[in-house]
Amino acid sequence: MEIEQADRIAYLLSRHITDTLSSEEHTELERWLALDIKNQELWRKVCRRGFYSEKEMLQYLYDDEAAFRKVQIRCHRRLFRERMFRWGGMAAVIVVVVGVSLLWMCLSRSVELPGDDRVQLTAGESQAILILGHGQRIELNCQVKDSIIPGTQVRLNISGEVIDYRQESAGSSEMDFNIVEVPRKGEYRLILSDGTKVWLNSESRLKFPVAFYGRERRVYLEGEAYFEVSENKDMPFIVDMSKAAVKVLGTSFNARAYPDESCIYATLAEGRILLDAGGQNLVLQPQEQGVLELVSGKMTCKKVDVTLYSGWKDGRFIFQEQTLENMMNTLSRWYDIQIFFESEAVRRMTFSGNLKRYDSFNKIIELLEMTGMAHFKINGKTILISE
Amino acid sequence: MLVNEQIWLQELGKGEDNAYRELFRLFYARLGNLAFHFVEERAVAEDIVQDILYELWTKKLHFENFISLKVYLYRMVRSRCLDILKHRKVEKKYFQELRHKEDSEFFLHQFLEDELYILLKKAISSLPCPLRRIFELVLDGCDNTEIAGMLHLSVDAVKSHKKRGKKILQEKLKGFILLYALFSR
Repeated sequence: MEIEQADRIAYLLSRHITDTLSSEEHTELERWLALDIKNQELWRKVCRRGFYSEKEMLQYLYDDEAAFRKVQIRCHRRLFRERMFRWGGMAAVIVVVVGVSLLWMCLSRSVELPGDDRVQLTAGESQAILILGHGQRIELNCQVKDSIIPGTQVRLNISGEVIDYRQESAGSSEMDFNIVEVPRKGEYRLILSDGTKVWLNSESRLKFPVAFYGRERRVYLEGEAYFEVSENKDMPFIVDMSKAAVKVLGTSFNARAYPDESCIYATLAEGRILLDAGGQNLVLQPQEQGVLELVSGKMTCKKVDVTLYSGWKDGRFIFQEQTLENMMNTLSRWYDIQIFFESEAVRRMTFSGNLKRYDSFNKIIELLEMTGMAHFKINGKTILISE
Repeated sequence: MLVNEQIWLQELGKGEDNAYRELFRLFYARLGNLAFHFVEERAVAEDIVQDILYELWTKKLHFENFISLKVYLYRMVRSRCLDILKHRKVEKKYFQELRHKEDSEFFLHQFLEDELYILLKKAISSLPCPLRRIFELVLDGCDNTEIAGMLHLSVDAVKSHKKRGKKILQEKLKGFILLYALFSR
């Protein structure tokens, strides 16, 4: 069978499924079925219940817009380079700089969605509260601040989405702790004084020393954060989540310990980490996730697609066969909404998808409703989901 | 529809951004899904497809018609994926897996499924709203009684809606035959 024939069979099958086959087409299809048992298997597969909606959902796993932008940048960059070689000399450099900034302007044009008569449930944004050692609370929105923390040699630089702690020089031995609290509908980034990068998700709280001293670098997490830990073999990095801790040397991973959830999760992207919970511990390899069930105390480990658990830090929600209940747990924190399910069946419905974190919740509802599996009713900040 | 397609193909050949935006919209998800069935890693699958489309764009390849473009893209995805699979660790189980995936049937069946989905989607979205919902349920394998229950209609109403829908689909799907007849070699 060649591609052209496959095309023809796809067409015949679509006719069959919509019950619009002509009698000649019917004969043609029968002939194809009789040719090979594999054809019959394929037939059974596509006529099976759920084939269409499963394919529908797969579409959402691939973001064609993001991919287009990525490739577009590559292409434009290459075209500029080619032009530059043709011109040569100083003039070419200016052309490239101007060209690139124009390109960025074009790309950042946003697309207006048609009006919605429902209340717009907007996505979260960078917001957090910084609590200094002596208890002073600073609200961080779009602030810019740059100063040395009194009593230490650490320079604090805040710029809208990131708090950067930079150790200026080896200083005092005081262990001063700061806390960053991210509310519902918020997110924030930190760079600790050893260079470790932290992304904090909604409803999360990180307590950490302003400067690291001693034999370990210990931080305390409640909620969810993604860490890119700078390497320091002499001072292991520890994320203390009360019931469990992650011990690291230098690596990238996601840690999740929400007080209202029944499990603690550690998902490893690169490097090696040790998940420690009282008597039990587990060494994780890249692309593995360790789960501690709080009620039973059981610790398990499995191979996962890390982007499903860390997509949030790159502005995406990525779900693969996730129950609606789990999806909504995650989304309700970011959008600051309350979700109610009409029945158990609705809770257990599964979806797969790749959604933009900065889209309004209304847009997400639109996508979910398109599958025809669930219906959403909005009442202010309360959502009722039914079949 | 014919005229638009020719213009679009020309713009693609010139490397026009808008034409490529449309190309991504039409093919990216399908090609990504196809690549995924070979390499079984979404990130790798997406890289493969992006590379192929990038090359198409920079080489400014020109295609005579839609089918030849489609065939080229699918064949490229297949060959790139098989290259990657061959470079992977040469262990016994990978050998068998590779054999199975090299088989053209594997590829063609994936292609067929994706094409079928696209055809169904096109057909269904051409229906007016109430009929569309009914046919989505038909595609999901629901029978008339189930559909009637879900949409709060009588079984007779469902039957007559289906009849109307089928008539429209008959006309719409006929358009596809024309395309194939004119474009097949």
